[in-house]
Amino acid sequence: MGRQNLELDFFGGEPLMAWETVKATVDYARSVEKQHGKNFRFTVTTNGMLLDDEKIEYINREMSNCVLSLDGRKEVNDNARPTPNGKGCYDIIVPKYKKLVAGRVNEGRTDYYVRGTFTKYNLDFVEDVLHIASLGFDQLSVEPVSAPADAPHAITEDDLPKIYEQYDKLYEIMAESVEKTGKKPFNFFHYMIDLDQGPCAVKRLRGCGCGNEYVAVTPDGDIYPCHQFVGIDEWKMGNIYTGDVDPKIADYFAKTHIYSKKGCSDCWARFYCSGGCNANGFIYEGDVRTPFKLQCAMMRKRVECGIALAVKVKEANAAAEET
Amino acid sequence: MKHIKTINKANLKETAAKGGCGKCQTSCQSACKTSCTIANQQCEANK
Repeated sequence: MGRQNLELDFFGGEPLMAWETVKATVDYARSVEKQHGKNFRFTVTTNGMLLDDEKIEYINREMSNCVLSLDGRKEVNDNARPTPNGKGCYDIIVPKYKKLVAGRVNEGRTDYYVRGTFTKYNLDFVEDVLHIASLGFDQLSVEPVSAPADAPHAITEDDLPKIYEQYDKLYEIMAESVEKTGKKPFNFFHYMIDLDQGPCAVKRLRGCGCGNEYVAVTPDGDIYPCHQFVGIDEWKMGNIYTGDVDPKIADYFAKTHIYSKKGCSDCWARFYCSGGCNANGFIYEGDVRTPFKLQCAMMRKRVECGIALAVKVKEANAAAEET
Repeated sequence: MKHIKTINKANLKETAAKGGCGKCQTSCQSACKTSCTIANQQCEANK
């Protein structure tokens, strides 16, 4: 069966450094999609440094989603994202993000994320979520870092109590807003849960779809199951220039689901997270089919908060209908 | 007093029968790069 919707996500590295390639790819896809009955959806993830008016206009016209990297408070962001002269990038990128987002919001669109990463250095990451919201952005994602366990900024099990406390705090803030106004103050990516018309059971079983529905292609044309596997030889699936693709790896991932992963069948959150990140299993537990325990712990907490918030919103909507 | 409220009805069986069409977003894109949550994605089968 041919797929109608095809998605292409430019991220890196920094895709705006290859802007002409991005444009050539998008323009070519647009020129042929109708004749083949396809619908391309492009997304771009950028650190914002090279954004200018021309790129903003193009992104807002062509990209169905865009992800703008910002780690939160100026000092947090600039510590993690220094420019070559040692200064941080916060003051450069925030005005550009505001301009880009205004262009989308003016058209009634909410298809963007301002996305940050939290590390051991900013375990009080709710402050960063609130800071990003205070800048006027309302589609937010702040996610735990993926880093080698011995890296100084890596999150470890010792950090979990603090992280749980922060997720609870964020829930309380959002829930209070729902109670007072009937609406969430902003969207937080990890608390978005669709209890009614969410993904089908098939999707929930097989999870992220890497290696089959989704692959990563490097600048050299090498194909990997996803961006997290890039550079690990045993997971190289093929190359777009030679046309070789190893079906064994695709088949392995097709058979990787919540009933073939260790521990998932006993976990209440299995139909929400769908087995977690395959690459993290490999990188941190040494096995794709063994979910990364630290990620599982955080995921369960987020799902718990997401469900609680969804219930709050439902109750607020029901109350509004009654009045 | 009613202590348990049903907030949505189970629909997984129904979606198992007609799901898997592949129209929806591939999962590990956009905001998520390493911590994908499937349950926040939209079904696009009826769009």
